[in-house]
Amino acid sequence: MSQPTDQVLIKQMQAGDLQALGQLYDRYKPLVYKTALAITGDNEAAGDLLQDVFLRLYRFSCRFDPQRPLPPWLYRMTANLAYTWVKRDNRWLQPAGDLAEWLAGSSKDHPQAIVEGRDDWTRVQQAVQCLPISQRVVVVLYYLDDLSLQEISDILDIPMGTVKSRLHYGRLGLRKRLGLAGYPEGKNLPELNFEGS
Amino acid sequence: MDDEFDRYIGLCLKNWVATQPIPLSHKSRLMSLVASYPAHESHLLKRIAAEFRNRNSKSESPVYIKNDWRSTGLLTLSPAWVFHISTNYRLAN
Repeated sequence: MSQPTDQVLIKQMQAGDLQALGQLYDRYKPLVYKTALAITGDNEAAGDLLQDVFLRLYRFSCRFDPQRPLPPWLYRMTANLAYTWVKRDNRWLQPAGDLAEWLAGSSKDHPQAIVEGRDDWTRVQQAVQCLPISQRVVVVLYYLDDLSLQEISDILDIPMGTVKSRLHYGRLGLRKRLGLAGYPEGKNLPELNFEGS
Repeated sequence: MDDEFDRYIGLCLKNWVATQPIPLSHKSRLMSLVASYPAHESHLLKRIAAEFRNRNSKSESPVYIKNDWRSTGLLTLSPAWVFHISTNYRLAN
């Protein structure tokens, strides 16, 4: 049996069908949660944002055009709510212990000595968390969600040049924080395999 | 463009996120919250906003616009008016 399309589910949800909302939730839960988690770096916050995004989807479903694709709206809402969450409580500040540990690691490690695997994942995630929120959102949408520059521009409602600028400075920030700033581009990076689902 | 660097960052970020379990309890919480909302709250919101505009008083506006209003088009009630509405309009309608 084929799954109903987003368009069908949105129309059902607009008619007050909670099951349709549940199906959309199951379908797009990973998209929203993972994006929120990568931006906030906080599992609890990502869970709250996941709930809030779908709550708003239902509350304001009557304004939603079923002909338009749903994922860009979900990305936009997730980014906006995550942005608000980060700004509200200055969440960009890492816990002192984590930061000290991370700084110690980044100052002594040579890229060739970076341990392959989970340590790399965590270091990159921590480096992303250190970026200013405006760069962080673009970096996450680009690297995690594989969105194009044009798609990011549309989702965040900012000019393409701004997206490129934020991504450029985001890359520089990541290079610096990962201790790769002084090394030739594309070299000395360990081989990685994708293990996600 | 540094493709190798991009690939490295992308894989690390995806792998890290993939190791983080998605909480299971949120769906039931969401459904419970949604079920408690009035069916046409947004229509009610518009009606209240229109009524308040008719009163021509800006100092006590029940509706304020959030920072993300341009991208979301959403209006949000101030807390005092949420109470006011929940105790008056919702019951009356």
